[in-house]
Amino acid sequence: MENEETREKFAKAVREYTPRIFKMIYNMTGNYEKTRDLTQDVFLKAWEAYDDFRGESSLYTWIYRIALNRVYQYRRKKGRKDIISIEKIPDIESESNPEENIINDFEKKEIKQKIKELPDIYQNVIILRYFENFSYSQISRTLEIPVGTVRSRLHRGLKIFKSSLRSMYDT
Amino acid sequence: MTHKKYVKLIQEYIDGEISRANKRELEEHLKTCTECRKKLEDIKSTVEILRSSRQEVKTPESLDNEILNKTIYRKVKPVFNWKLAAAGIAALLILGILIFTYVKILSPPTSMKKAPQDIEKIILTHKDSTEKKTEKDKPVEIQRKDKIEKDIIDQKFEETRLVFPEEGSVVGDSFDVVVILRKDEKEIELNIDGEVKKYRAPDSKILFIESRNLPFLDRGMHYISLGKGRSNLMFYKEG
Repeated sequence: MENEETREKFAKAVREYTPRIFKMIYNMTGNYEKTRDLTQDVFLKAWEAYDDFRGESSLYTWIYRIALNRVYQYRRKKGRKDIISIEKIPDIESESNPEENIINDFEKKEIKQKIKELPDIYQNVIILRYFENFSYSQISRTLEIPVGTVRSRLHRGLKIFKSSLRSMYDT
Repeated sequence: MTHKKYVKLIQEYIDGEISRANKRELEEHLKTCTECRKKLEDIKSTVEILRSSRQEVKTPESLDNEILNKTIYRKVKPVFNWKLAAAGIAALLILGILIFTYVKILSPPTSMKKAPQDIEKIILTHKDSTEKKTEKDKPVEIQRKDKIEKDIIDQKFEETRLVFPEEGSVVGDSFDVVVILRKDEKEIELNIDGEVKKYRAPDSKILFIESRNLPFLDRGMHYISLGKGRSNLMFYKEG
């Protein structure tokens, strides 16, 4: 397995995808240090299983799926409550977009908390669509669900998210 | 079309996934339906709030290098395969028995045996050690340490090549990397586990690099190659 071509291909994937996988795991866990460990685990697992990668999906999709499973596994082990507590996050840079001044940093944290509290099936599609800008078909391939399900989960997820926001502003 | 269907289209519209025909139809519908317009604005603002909460998190520096060291550059203990070893021993035993049988039964009487011929040996021996400096950022200069068989030296090598370690070699604490240089080449780049270092051999066609002039190598698996793009060989260091 470990010929030079394989190693070079994998090294390229590590350099290219580490920031994206790190960001995705961070969005799902909110724990900076744990995200670092989990990101390493994901690539270790990917390297061990690299022989099984058949090229049916893109390499990124394949690694992304490993990352999702790793996050689920971590959640099951730690218990969801444990990992959604917001901690101090180092080196955060706000994205510059027009909506930025609509809400403040405190609200941002609250909103992120609400996203993390969403059931996994809705959280995944929302993160992939609105944070990672995946298309419906990319989400469908990544999560191995039909495109119609992607759309309905987005719709339902947004609905749940909106009602949780309402409760946030009501309190 | 029912409102339920329009709700589905509104979601696709916001996500930029709507077909051209459906888009036209929805836009026509929105002109007259207040309820759907409200629904559209509602979903749109929810998505905007979601997106606005997105924060860029900085990936820890050198995380990718840490991952590479634990994956493609990792040092692993070779696994001793008992089944393979047992099969090997069994094969050797059978071979031994066959040879013994052949010698006993088929070989001519001792008096008729030919005197054994000398086995040609090519041994690269070291007589002295004349390593030079090991200054940082400068190529390590290494001279030829011994007299090599003339016929080996006089050969014209088309390409610089790594003679030792070979793929799968097992080395001890002290060993030499041996490189045969192309006729006009005086300097090589040696890549060990991703760390590249230059070595120079001003007056020699064969370069010996003692392990103490290499980057520190702990016990386990390592990769070695000449410069970029040349084939990468794995060797194992015993400690």
